[in-house]
Amino acid sequence: MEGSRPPFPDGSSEFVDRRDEFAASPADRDSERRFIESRIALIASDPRLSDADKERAIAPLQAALEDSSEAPDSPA
Amino acid sequence: MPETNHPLPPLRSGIEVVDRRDDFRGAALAGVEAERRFIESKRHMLRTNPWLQPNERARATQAFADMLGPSAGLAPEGPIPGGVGYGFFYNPAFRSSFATGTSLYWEIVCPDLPGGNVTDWLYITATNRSAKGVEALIRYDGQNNFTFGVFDWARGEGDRWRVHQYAELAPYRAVESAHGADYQVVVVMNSTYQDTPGNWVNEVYLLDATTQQWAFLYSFAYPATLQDQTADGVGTWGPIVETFQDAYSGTNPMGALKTQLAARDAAGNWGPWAALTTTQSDPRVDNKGFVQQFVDANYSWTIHS
Repeated sequence: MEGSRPPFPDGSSEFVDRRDEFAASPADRDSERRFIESRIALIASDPRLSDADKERAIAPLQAALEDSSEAPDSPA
Repeated sequence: MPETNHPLPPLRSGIEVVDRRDDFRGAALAGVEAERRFIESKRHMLRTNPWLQPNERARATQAFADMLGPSAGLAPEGPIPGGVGYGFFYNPAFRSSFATGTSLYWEIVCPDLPGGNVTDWLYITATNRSAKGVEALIRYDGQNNFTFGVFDWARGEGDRWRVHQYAELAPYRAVESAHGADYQVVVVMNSTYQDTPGNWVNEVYLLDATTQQWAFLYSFAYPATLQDQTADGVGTWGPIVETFQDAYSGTNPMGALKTQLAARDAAGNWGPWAALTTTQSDPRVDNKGFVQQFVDANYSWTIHS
């Protein structure tokens, strides 16, 4: 995997692994649903897309939204 | 034949006039509600005209309200999520011009507080072109300090959205100058690339401004194909300010600096980083009240309202 990473724009390849420090718990499902709903609205209102383009683009997001809606929130 | 009290257009001056006013009197009024919505729509256009400065918009809106008087009964404007205050979408050819990886670097111009009339969420976000990649974004929630979010489109339901509080981000807040002004920025790189055949990985890095080191803060590996990564929908927006209210005013400058992308070819070689250009992306402005302060097409820009 190391060899697959892109070089950084400054040409360096050094980094510090802070993933443990940033290991946040997932946010609540309502936030996730709102995020996805907003993306659907973003695509639905894109003036560059045809109705067919929009339908195709929104379908997977709608499926993700339905997934999110079906699963109950885990306890805090 | 009735005569008009004004000249007809020159190219139509030879045409006769027939009085049909009686025939057309039967049309029903569109209704109070239709009229109100028509007027509110015009008010919204004035309040959010991206080609007017904020003070010009305020004058125009006030003049419009004065003209209508209090009997117009205009309601406060309600929120409309999923709008684009300002930003750039990748064009279809550029959006899919990678084979085994794509990476985005940008400096998110993000004041501590959004300022102005922000009472809901407001995002400064971008994709790296991949449909199952991550959005590493700045999120405002009303007049609170921003948080940093990672939304991973490759993860399953309930596991996609992670938020890091402002206090965690102290080392990653830097200051950059552009067009004679200093802006607070968070420097982000997010990548999506094929790790092994049939498996891809999403990664997010932030630049630690105190040490000038890249901090690797997020990764997620998952099965996918190139077709998955170039599917329609997610992956089409570059840096944008995403709105959750109908009209903004008084907000602090926000935006993107030095937006660059890199692509990895079928042989696994990363190409050079290159600034986002006008041939790769198109602007989108949804008349939410934001005004462009400057744009270096299309890789650096800031807006305010």
